[in-house]
Amino acid sequence: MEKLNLSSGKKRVYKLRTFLILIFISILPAISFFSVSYQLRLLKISELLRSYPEVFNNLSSTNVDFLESQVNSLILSLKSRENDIKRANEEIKNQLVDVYKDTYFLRVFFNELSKTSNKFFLSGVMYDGQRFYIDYYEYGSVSQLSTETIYNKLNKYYKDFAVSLLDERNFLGDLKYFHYIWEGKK
Amino acid sequence: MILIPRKIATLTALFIFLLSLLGSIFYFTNATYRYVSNLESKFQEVRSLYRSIERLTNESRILEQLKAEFVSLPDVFIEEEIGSEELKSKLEELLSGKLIATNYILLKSSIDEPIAFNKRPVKYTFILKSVY
Repeated sequence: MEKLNLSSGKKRVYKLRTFLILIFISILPAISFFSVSYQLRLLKISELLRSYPEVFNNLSSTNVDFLESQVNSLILSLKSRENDIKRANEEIKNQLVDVYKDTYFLRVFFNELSKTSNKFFLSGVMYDGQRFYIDYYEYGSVSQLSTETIYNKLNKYYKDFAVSLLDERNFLGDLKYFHYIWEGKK
Repeated sequence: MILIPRKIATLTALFIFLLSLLGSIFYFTNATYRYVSNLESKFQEVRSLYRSIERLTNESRILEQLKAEFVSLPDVFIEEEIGSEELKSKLEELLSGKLIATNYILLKSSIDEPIAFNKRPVKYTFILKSVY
């Protein structure tokens, strides 16, 4: 059978103007999406600024392009301020601890004494700003002061702290005396 | 007149459509979504720093008050000879109150050896230098 050629024989083409319109139409969705993104970005930024007044109050310019750099420098200045206050507080805390340590050993001593029913004779206390010692006698059939408790309390704050039982002797009948020394360094 | 084959024109337009759409999605992801998330985390950091500074400032106020308590104390120099009961009450008074900044404490009994309590009166030399 003979084949029929029904085409006109012309090549299908677009004019340049039609082609440009086609291109323009093809980029329209992207342009609108881009535009929505930009508006969304502005909206979100203004929402954030409303929710964070501490940031908004510290902005010198509301220009969105400089917002991030302004926030970065705000963070840096706040961090530096925070560190300054921390350092100052730490200094005062150290001073307070230092002053507290001037008499803490005596506070512990009298506090422990008040917990026992034994009698005590305080022979001497010496503190020169760095080193201290307490010399005392405890009277009773057994020593009621727990050297372990005392050690745990004072060893945290003083260097080379030691509780030493120097002597233990019968005193009157079954009554004994226990001669103790506490010593340590600040 | 410039004529462009329809097939090539359609493919080019499709290619440009996809490319521009990818570009706008990329812009949305980076310049909008990530930017806003990043900005929000920075804002949160600013808020937490403000709170931390506020807390530290309060702490600082309390510490300054405590410091003022011992700084405002006048320099004290006590040197006396007292009995054991007096000594007890004096030490209770000194130690129960405010902080004492001292660099010298001496307490020495008049007797060194162990004593039968209440039988012999004991005198104490008590020296306290309170300075800041």
